[in-house]
Order: sequence, then structure tokens, then C-alpha cells
Amino acid sequence: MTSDPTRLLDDPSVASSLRDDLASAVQVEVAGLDLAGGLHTLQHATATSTPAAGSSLATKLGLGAALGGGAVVLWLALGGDPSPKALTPAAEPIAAVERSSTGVAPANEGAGELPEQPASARGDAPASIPSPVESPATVDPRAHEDVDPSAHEDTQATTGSGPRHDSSHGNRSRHDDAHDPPEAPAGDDVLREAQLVAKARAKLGREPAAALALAEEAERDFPTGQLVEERRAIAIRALLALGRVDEAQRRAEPFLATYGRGAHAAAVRRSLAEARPTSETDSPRP
Amino acid sequence: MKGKSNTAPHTGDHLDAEALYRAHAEFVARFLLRLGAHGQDVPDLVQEVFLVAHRRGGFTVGRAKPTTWLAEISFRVFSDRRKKSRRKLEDADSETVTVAPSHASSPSERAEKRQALERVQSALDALTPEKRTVFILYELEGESCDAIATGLGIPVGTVYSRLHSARRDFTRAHERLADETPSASPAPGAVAGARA
Repeated sequence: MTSDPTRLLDDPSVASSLRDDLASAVQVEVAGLDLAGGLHTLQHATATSTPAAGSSLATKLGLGAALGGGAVVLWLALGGDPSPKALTPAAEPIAAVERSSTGVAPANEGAGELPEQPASARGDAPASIPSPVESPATVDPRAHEDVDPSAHEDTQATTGSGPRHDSSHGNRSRHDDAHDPPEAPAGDDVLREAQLVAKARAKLGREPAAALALAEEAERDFPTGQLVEERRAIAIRALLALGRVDEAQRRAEPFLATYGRGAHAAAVRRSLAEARPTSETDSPRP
Repeated sequence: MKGKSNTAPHTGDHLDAEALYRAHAEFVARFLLRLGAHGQDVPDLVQEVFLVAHRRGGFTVGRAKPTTWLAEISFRVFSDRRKKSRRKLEDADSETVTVAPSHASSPSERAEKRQALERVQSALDALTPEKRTVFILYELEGESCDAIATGLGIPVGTVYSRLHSARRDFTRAHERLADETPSASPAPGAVAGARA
């Protein structure tokens, strides 16, 4: 057993400036990460997803979440070959983990054969890496190896609408009926709803109008969805950001009555408190 | 609706995604930032990492450490996002996650530490993603080479090799950066070579 080398930070022969900088880099904290909100979202996602391979719903949900929904779904739909012979060794990200169909592989399986990624495989050379969406047949399946090939047929149902929700309203509306069984078909809806809400969340900081529109769209399209709480919180915060304080307060009251102890309540209350001192006129921003 | 996985949620030798998140979300966020993820992407990337962890059935003690196991997933998720990021810039969010000095008593000290963090990050950016991963886990997160090897699924010799090369590249990059910012001028000839 080879002993580990002395860390640069602890090595007196290393330049003090380097060690000082490394010491600063070690003593950091993560700022701005909403741990409670993230846990809440994760709970929603995992509640409708089955761990490990074997479930097409789980595969679609997890894979869609991991890849933004589009690339592998399209790749699978167009007949991508997930078999090992179709895989390109140079495109392997780090190591051959999880090659087995169960999604869990021995830690060192095939590791000795794994060179570092070339620049093209690392994404450093976009010209040589066709867009996964534009050229699905060239997508490296090992980068998405959690995919279950058996999900092919199920996945095809989602490719008509792709990762975007725009053209999916017709398909989705049948799931809004309370009488429908909430099993397989609900998975596509959950994925699309999650994408919509994620997009709304991403727009919230700089484009509150867009965030509000997306949250409203989610409200309209997925009235009994999985992420009602989060999208309503986004809508309230977007309204506040737009200066529509009265409307935000009207929505906040039932929201806080229902989700007052939820993961997004604190953010809503904070946004309301920040907006109140300047809310006399309540005039919408242009 | 609380997310209860179909596996044992948190037993002595098993951690489900929720337990992993509670224990290691900050580690994952920090690791992603050091890998080079944009702060506005980090919340979604963190979610993706733990969703993948969930689909893998959670973490079972014995194969690796949870941190290095999650680091491997993070690397994959980050690499995949990177390929798409050039087309997704319009989705940028202003709610940015950052790493900040945890111990700074005065504004000037805070400013110095921020400069130090920027130099370290810039030097990290000079490394290939594979070397950067090993360097971060070993030099900044204090993981052992064995744990890194197990978590990433590569031979420990490969870890040593990547660490050796990463140290050399990092040190050179840091030298250049330190020359540009006088507050952290390195002593000439005092730069350590890699000993991995």
C-alpha cells in the first residue's frame, strides 16, 4: 500500500503564498444554497421515482431531470444503441461505473482501461461535439448510462413534445382528470411540470415577468401537479418583483395558510416583508 | 408528499437520497462550484446529483465513501451540463450560489480571502476536469487517494498519476496568477513539485 503524499497545504517546502491560498480555499462555506427548498424538491421528485433500474418511470424521471429532459429521450426515440459495443471509449467521463444493467457496478470495473477524456469528450471543443438534441445519434450513451434501454417504448411517448411543454397540452390534459390512474402516464406530466417549474425558478431573479408567466402556465396545465407549492411561491415572488404587491399579498394569504410551514414559506414571507415598505403605490413596473 | 424511497431510507449501512442530501448537499454544491459550475446552475445540478443517487438506489457502505461516490456522480452531471450550457445561457438565474470565506474578521481580510479564492479557482480552471476532480478531493476536501480511487472507480495508481500532474499544473497556474496579484507573490524557487 502506497502512502498518500503530503498535502500541499501541509508541506513546508511549498510556497507560503500557495499554502495560504489553499488554506483560504479549504475554509469556505457555501452561500446562497436553499437547502430546505432543495430538500423539498428532492422529496417530491423521489416520491414519484423508483430507485435503481427497472422502472421506466423512474428512468424517465431521473434521466430527464439529470439531462434536462431532451437529449437522451430523443436519442432513445431515434434508436440509439445503448449496448456496450456502441459506446466510445474516449467519451467515458471518469470511469466505468455502473455498466451493469442494475445501475450499480463494482467500483473498479474496467477502470484500468479508462484514459482521461479528450477535449472533445469533455465538452471543451463544441465544434467536434454535435449537440445531443440536434444530432441524437451521436450522443454518448455512457454519459447517460443510468438509462434503462427497456424504457425505449415508453420514452417515445414523450418525444413528440420533447423537453418543452408547449406542444404537450393535449396529451397532458387527460391526466388532469382525477379519475385517471396516477401511474405510468403521470410520469411524463411530472417531468414536464418539473421542467416548467425549474424554468420559472431560473427566470425569477432577472425576468420575473417570464417567471410569472411560466408559473401561471404550470398552474393552468398541471392544476393537481406535484409542485403546486413551489410554483405558487414563485408566482408570488415574481409578482413582488414586478411591484404588484397587492396581488402578491392576496395570493400569499391562502398560500401561507396552506403551506405556512412549508419549504417556501420563509422565502415568501421574506419577499413580502421586503416589498411592504415600498408598496404604497403598488404600481406595476413597465 | 414526502419522498420515501423504496429502499431502506437510512440504516446503518445504507443512505437514501434524502439522507445523503441532508448530510452532503453542501459538499456537492462546493464540489460543483470548484469544478467550475456557474453559481446559478448549482441548485439544479445539486438536484440532479441526488436524483441520480436516488436512481442508483442510494449509497451502500462498503463501496466507497459517500462524498467520493457523490463526487463521481457530480462529475458526470456537471460534464453533461457543460455540453449543453452554451445553448442554455439564456436560462441564467441571478440567484447565485457561491463559496465564501468562512472566517474573516474584517472587510480587508475578507477581501484578501476572496482574492485567494479567485486565484485558487482560476488555477483549478487550468486543470482538465479529471485532474481537477482529483485535486479538489485530495487537496481541498482532504480525501485519501484510496477513497478517491474507490469513489471514482479508477485504480489508485491513476489517482496518484492525476494528482501528480494536477499539482504541477496547478502550481504553475498559481505562480502566474500570484505574479499578477502582488499580495500573494510566491517565494522564488519555493514552489513544490508534485510528490504523488
